[in-house]
Amino acid sequence: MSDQSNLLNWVPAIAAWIGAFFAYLNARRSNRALRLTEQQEERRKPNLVLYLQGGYLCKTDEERVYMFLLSVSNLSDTDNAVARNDLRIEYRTAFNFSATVDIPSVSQGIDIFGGESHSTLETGVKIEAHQTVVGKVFFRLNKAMLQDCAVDSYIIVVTDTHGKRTSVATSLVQEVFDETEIEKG
Amino acid sequence: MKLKSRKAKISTKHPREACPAKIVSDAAIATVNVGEGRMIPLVIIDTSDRPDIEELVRVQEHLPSGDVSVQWGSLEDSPKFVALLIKFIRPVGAFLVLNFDIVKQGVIVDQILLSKAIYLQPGQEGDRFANTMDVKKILIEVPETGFSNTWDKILFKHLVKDFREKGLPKYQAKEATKGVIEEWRKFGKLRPWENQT
Repeated sequence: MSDQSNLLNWVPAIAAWIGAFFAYLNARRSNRALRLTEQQEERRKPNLVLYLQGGYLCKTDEERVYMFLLSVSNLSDTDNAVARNDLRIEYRTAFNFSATVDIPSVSQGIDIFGGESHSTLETGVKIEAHQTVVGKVFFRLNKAMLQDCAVDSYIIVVTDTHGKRTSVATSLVQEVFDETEIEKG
Repeated sequence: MKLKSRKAKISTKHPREACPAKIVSDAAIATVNVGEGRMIPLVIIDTSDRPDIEELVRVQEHLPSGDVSVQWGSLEDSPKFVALLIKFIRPVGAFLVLNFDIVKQGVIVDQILLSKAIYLQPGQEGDRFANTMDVKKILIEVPETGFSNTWDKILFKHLVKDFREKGLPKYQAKEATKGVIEEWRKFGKLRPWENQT
């Protein structure tokens, strides 16, 4: 009789342990579900990655025209678009003042480089989720602007449709005198 | 909607940006092609310790218009001044504080609010617009931020106080202030080129 009552005393304890075990399993499953949802949310965040395939500079009597061959990959699960391309030039003035200027990209009057191997990476170009677009980006500026200045580096800054900025830096821009040099590249 | 002032800390990239620029001279320019011929105030600031502003003005000449954001405010421990905080976003990033004495330079603030713009010209102590007309300047748009109503009250209060300090009785000080503001605004609304546009 006492054995039976002892056993009966253990039943609630065992039931409680089984309950706790299932609660633990549920908590683990919920945590995993939460982690997956967070990962999904993370993947939806805008995430562009830039790769610079080459940078060229052509000087005319009045201006400096830059051309960069750029690939933009969209690593996110959400479609995105290029809202703005800027060329950030870090330079030192004649008075040794370190300055930075952002030049907006241009799409007109850029036949100076010739060649049709890649289209222009226009602003507003759509990049679907997990896709890459490749194109040329052109920047032009008046020669007088960098007169007596020493350029330290060039940074291409791409602003996406969400206002997020991604950049890629280069300090090596090849000066070209005719378009065949770009093809040899 | 009634705007409430709040205290805020603004971080700057360089300590020099936190100091208000010294205004060495002012003027107003009205041209046919800019701002429908409105009289736009110009301030010449001492840029001897602001090479970034000098560079900004120089570079801007070669580039399309840039982006800027403005904010009216008041700096700590300067209750007799109103500050125009200008944040240049592109093509060159910089931060500039213009601190105006409400009584002595209130007319400039009033004109900025009226014309919704200001010309900024780099210079040095002693420069006057008349002898530096060829120096490059930039035009900054100062859109209505809801400050006008607050400004009317601030200006009135400070001018009345100033007149009273000069010996006018309360009623006359108020009347004189109204007269001064009215004259300023009548002059500020002049468009010298109106008949030619």
